[in-house]
Amino acid sequence: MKILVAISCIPDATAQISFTEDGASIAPANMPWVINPMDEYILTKAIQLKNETQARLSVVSVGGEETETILRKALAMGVDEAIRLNASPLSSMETAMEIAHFAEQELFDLLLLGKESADYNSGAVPALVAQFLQIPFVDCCADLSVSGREVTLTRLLNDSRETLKSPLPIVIAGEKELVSEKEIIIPNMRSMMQARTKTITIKPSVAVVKKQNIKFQKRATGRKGVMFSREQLGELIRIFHEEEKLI
Amino acid sequence: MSINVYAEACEQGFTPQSLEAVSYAKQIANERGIPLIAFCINAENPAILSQYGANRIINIKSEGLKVLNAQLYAKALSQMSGLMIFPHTAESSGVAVSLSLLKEAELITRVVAFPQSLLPLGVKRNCFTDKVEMSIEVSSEEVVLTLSPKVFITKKEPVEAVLEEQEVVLSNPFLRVKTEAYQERKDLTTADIVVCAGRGLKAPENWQMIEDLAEALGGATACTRPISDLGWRDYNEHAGQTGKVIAPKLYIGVGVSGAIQHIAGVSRSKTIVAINNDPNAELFKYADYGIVGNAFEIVPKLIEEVRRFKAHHKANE
Repeated sequence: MKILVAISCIPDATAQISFTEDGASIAPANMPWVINPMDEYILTKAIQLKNETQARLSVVSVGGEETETILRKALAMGVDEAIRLNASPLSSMETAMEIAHFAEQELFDLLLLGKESADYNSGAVPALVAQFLQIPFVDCCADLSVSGREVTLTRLLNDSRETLKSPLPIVIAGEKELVSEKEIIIPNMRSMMQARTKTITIKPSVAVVKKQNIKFQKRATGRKGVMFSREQLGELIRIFHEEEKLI
Repeated sequence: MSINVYAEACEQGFTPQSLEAVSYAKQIANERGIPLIAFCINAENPAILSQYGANRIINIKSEGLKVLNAQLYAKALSQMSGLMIFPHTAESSGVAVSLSLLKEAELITRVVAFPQSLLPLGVKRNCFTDKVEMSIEVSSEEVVLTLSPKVFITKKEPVEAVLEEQEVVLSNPFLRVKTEAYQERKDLTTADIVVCAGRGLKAPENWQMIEDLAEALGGATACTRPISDLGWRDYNEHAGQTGKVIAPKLYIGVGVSGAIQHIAGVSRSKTIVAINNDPNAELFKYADYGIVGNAFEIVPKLIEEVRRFKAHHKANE
């Protein structure tokens, strides 16, 4: 079995986001880059599946040199090969096209992605990849096992958890619940050192998409910040009712 | 440009996020004086959508669509054209995304505003977990939008509607083994009031007062990530960047420090209240109302005040 995990490189949640002067893109200077948290869960799940089934596990990321850190981390965690698709995508469509093009040539059985990246929050790449490849797609996956050419998985629907069986190949977008926090693999120094000398294959960009006209702007929080003492809780309830119309 | 909306059928009729989408689409259709076309799949009572302004309702019936499969749903909905509006939910975002590719349409997800114009179409969405606003303009005549839940208001607008039923045959590779309804009493993502507690509560047995406060207010309970990781509460209650992103009218954080990953999931709440004994807790910076003090004293007092208010209010009705 061949498994492909696609991971995204995002600015750390605590990073200050700034924009280029025209507001058309994010200024990447001095940004602390990390693996998108949702992708770290699915990557851990993929390594567990690889160990259970002796599958070959590849990891791919679309981006520039900044993605090398996260790809090396994935190698240290235990993936067999790392590929960087050399592009600077401006939309989910572009990212998905790069991943799908690569996946199509390699014929993977299982394609795993995080449900959503914490930068652009589109939540669109997994379904786009599946649609490009014409392979069935399952979103919000919270449990997954593979047996032969069949997967059994649980997904989180609007009001219920649903368990399904599906033949391979399949594209799956994972939830945090796939693995527990203590299962996340923290590579030791030895594997980190080994990963430093491993090859990261770089493939050229292939996607051609129509450009969307985009402008970024910081959102103001605009909170009131009014403090109350414990003696004034009745007043707070009055505000909830009369001013905020909450109750 | 024709205006289409997709509504998710559920046991109660249609999901609240779908009705928000129908009202959103109706407003756009009204501004242009054109009818609204609504699509649904295997709906028991599609006529409900006429209460929200759908002039033409197309209910697609198929055995093959009894189990959700984004691509097959998209195929069944490929008769949509023009502006195609979806709720951004666990069940429908994938359908919208698949459809956008099938139609070679532009795709904009998690929209938070009405379009300024239709051709070119300009809308706003949030990114970097709501820290940044993104304005997007696309010039295609085929556009798929998914709407962030709880941003738009559902409005009743009864109209005479034409109801069409279509039968389609599609073969679904997914085989359902079982379904289990969520345990929680109230769905976090659709609740108007959410009481959320964090590590400040110290132990799982201290959650009774959180449940009591939520019940007194008619809201749902939530927790921060360490709490669900510790197994004190179910993962379903985890609000934050990697859990549920929520936008209730009122969010009360009790003993919640306000880590950026948690804020990312709750910052769209209309009113934020923080209760914490640490006056430097980050959550206070994002709060409309703050109370510094011991949660074990303040929460019971707050419950008492809410109950007194409700009893008084009821007596006066």
